[in-house]
Order: sequence, then C-alpha cells, then structure tokens
Amino acid sequence: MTHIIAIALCIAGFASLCAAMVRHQPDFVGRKLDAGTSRLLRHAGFSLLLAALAVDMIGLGAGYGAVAWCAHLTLGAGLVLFRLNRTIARQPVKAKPARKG
Amino acid sequence: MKDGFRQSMAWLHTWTGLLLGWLLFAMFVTGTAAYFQEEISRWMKPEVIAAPDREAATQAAITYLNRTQPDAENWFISPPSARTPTANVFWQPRKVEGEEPRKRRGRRGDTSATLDGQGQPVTARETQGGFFLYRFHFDLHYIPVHWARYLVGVAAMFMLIAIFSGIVTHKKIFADFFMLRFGKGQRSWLDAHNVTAVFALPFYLMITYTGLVTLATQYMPWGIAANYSQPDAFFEEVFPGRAEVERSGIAAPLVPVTPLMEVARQRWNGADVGSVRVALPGDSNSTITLTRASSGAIGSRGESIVFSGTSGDLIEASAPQGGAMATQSVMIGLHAGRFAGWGLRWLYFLSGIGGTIMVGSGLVLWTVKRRAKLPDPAHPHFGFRLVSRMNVATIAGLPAGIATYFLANRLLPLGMEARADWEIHSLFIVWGATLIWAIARPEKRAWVESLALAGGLFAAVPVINALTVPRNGITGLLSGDWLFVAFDIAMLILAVGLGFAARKAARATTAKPPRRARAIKEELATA
Repeated sequence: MTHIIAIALCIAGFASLCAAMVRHQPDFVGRKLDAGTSRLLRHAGFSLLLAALAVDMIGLGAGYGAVAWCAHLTLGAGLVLFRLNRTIARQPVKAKPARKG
Repeated sequence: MKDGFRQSMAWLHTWTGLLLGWLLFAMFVTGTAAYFQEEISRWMKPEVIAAPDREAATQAAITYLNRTQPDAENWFISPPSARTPTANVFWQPRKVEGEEPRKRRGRRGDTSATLDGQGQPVTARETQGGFFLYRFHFDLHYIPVHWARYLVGVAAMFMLIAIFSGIVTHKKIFADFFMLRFGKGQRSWLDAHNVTAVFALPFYLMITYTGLVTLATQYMPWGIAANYSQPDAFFEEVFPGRAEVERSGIAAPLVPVTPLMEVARQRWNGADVGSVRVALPGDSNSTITLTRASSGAIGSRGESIVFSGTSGDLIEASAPQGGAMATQSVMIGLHAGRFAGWGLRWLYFLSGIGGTIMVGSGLVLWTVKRRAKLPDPAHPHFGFRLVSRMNVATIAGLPAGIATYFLANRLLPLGMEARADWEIHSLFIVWGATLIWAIARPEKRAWVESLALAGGLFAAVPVINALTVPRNGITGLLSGDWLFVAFDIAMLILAVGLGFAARKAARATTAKPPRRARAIKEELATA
C-alpha cells in the first residue's frame, strides 16, 4: 500500500514538473502556461516528491523508505515520460522547427 | 577553461565507458537477473515443489546430518525460506591428525546435500540455476576467480568514473529531463542514453560504489596486512561464531534446535534465522550458532547468537557492529537487495534493466557518433568495426546465451554426465557463435539476425518448458503456481522486446549499403 501511494505521488510530482516546463507544455498540457502557473506547478511537483519520501519513510522505516523512494522516483519519472511520448506519438506529424539542443 | 574541462570529461566518459563497456553490460545483465536468482533456480529445478516449514525443516536437516555425518567437524544449514523451498546443508569432515584440513573451495558434491522438509535428499536435475548468473556477475567463468574479481573491480571503477564524468558532460540534466525524441538518429540514441542514465542515477551510483565495497578487502588488503599476521585472524576477530571449538572427546547428544530458533527470532524482533552452524556435533563441547537471515534488515551481515549444543544455554550474542562494519554491512545489503520484498525487488530489477539499456545505448552511441564522420562509410577502420561487432555480439549475443541456458536446462538429458557444466557451456557456445556471426555478416544484418535469434530463443522457453515439464504458465494460472506464470510472462516480454529491437534495426537497414564480409574477416585476421 505504501508503495502504491508513494508511486502515485511520484507520478503526480513528475507530471507537475513536466507540465511546468515550457518546452513540454504544448505536448503535455496542450497549450503554453503563463509563468506564474508554471512556477506554481514546479513548486507543487517538488512538494509531491517530498511527500512521497515522507510516505515511504513513515510506511517502511527511514532506511528502507529511502531506498524505496529512489526506486519510486525512477518509476514515476519513467511513467510520466512514457505518457509524454504517447501523446507526442498520437499527434499528427507536422513539421516542427528543430530546437537547438 | 570551463569548456576545456567539460570536453576532457566527455573524453573520459567516452573511453572509460567503452573500454570495459562490454564487460559492464554483461555484469548489468547477470546482476539484474541475479535479483531473482532463487526464483530462477526454482524454475530450473521444477521437480522441487514443497515449501516446508522453516523450523521443522531445520530440525529434519539436523536429524539427517546426525544419521549420515555424525563425525563431522562442522555442519552448516541454510533453512528453507519464502524464496527457497529446500534446506541446503554442507559439512566439514573431521580433521585427521597430520592432514591438511579440507578447504571448502573444491568440489562440494561430496560434502553437501539439498534436503526437503522431511530431511530427505531432494532428487532434482543437476543444475547451477540462478546461482550461476549470480556468480558470473562478479566471478565470470573459465578464468581464475581471483583475476576475474580484479577485472570486475577495474570495470566497476571505470563505471564510477564514467558516471561522474557523464554527469559533467550531460550539462542539462534538468532542462532535458523529459527529452526523448524518436526517429532522429544520433540525437535519439543520446536521448535514450541520457534518460535511462538520469532516471535511475541514484541506483547506478549506489550499485557501482557498493559493488566495489563488496570486494574491498580483496582490492585493498593493506589495512588488514598492516595489522594482522594472517588475514584469517582478522576475519575471526570481526565475525564471532567462526572461532574453532576444542573437542572434549566426551559424547553428548544435541538439544533440539527449534526452541533456540524461537529465542533468536524474539531477540531479532521477528527476523528469521538465515543460517545454522553446528560445531563438533555429538561432542559435549558442541555449539550451535544461529545467524539472522539477510532478508531481515538492510544490513546483509546478520547478527549471530551462539548456544551450547548440549544444554541450549546462550553462550554469546554478537556485539552490536561498530560504525565501519555496520556501514559495510548496509552497503553490501543495498547492493545485493536481499532485504527487498516483492515490490522493491521488482523495482531493483527494473533499475537493473535501465542500467543495461544505459550501457547498451552508450556502446551503440559510440558507433552512431562516428559512423557519420567516417571517411569511407563502406570501409570503416578497424577500431570502428571491432566496436560495432563487439556491440552486436554482446548486446544481442548475451541475451541469446541466457535464453539458451534456460532451454538447455529443459532439453539436456537428465542423466547426462556433467549436466550442470554443459548448461553453462551451451550459454557460451551460443554467445560465441553470435560473435562469429557478427564478424561474418554485414553489421546491420548481424544486428537484425542476432536480435531476432535472441527474441526467438526467449519465445521458445515457455514452449519448450510446456513440452518437457508438467509445470508451466497455464497450469500455473489454474493451480496458483505463480512462479511459472511470472517466468513465462517475463520470457515473453523479453522476446517481444528483442523482436521489437530487431524490427527497428531491420527498418534502419535499407539505407545502408551492404558490406563485404570477406574483406572484414581478412582485416580482422591481419590486424
């Protein structure tokens, strides 16, 4: 149960962080967000990740919880990335200007 | 200056990553599989079904040893657990005056046994099971263990350097956190490498550093050498309960072990007993040492309690570990993940898969980056060909070998001489064959064919299993034999993943002109 709650919080956290990033907003949110909303999402994202750490440590003990949190972060980030790429793959192919990396 | 530093770090990352990259890939693959070594062993011994009661099985094992090995110097018993259905016992025969005591190193066939819950030897096919994959992770195979561990240690050190230099090189960890673009050639490979590296970065740092710690006394023996005349003296002082006991010569029966295990459990807050040592069984000076199971806490080195073997009185409990010992114990525990329950074990496994992809994509990236700059793409230089062929042989060849290992377990005759050895040989035969194939075929074709072969072999595992043994994924669904269900599903996922990779490689094939295999072979021979 602790695992499930913590993973859910990690997914929510990374989803907020992803939505807070201007370059991903068109794909992930569907439109550009204003700077204030982005900042709010960024703070919310980090807070959710910390909440996941708290849940892990309370539910599993400090040591075990810290290990599990690292694994939950990986899984959460991976799932958000998967979602982001599914969204991009479903979009009709359009010529986008290549962003300089 | 700043650019200079980053460029030098990029150089360091490229070459430390490449030089032993293939070994690192093999270590990641086998190490990841080793998180399920007990489950793989159970799958490879389908005859063993019972999951007996831990305490009763331990007592039954002692009864067995009492009957067959009453004169032994020591008995060692690993009780069955949630993950292992058998009690594994081994013993040291009694020392004979003037004869060197037998080392544990040699073949243990005549000094060990696998017992069921009633203390009866289990009859199962001869196999190393998941244990082989675990040992290959740091002992390799066909070469002396001592040198293998140095080689593995150098590879791990390179890995650590590659991680740190990689962090410096990848300058936009946060800005590019979710960057994974497909169908953009080199950029896609770089994205995949970055994403797999960043997402499980804490795991890689932990696993690489703690991996070095597990063998630290071999890599850095000088601390012990400076303070102890014999390394054994150090280990006896550090690990109580290992010390030798003097034989009295007076016969005395052993007390039942079950109540002692209950005492130990209570002292360890319910954690199970992971191993039992009986010193001088049958002698009035006998002792029984119980050590906590490594599944009971993160620290892998369990506390131990020594009881008198004849009265059952508590003689000595291991003192709390000092800071350094506790740190080492926790680091080894973190690395091996023996404490991890099912949820965390799967997450360990997924992180390991991530690491495998990270190393694999890094190796491929080396060739992708250089392919565009080749003066004559149809005839690349020797170094490029070497790396690209080694990549095929490692990234597609090792999975093919492991699938063959599973298949050989089902297909080799049960009564075969040296059966367990031939299971392992078959892994290396197929792995070696993919190397020859990779050299003989045009590179892109070699990728497609080797990946398809690996995928096909994994897909064959559930089929061959269903045809050769009564337990499989479908009967498992009906009878609740979840191990066989999960194993079949895992094999099919691997098969689909490798098949998908083969298809991707095939689509990229058309653009590249085929290369002449003979010229490559000649140049490999002359170089």
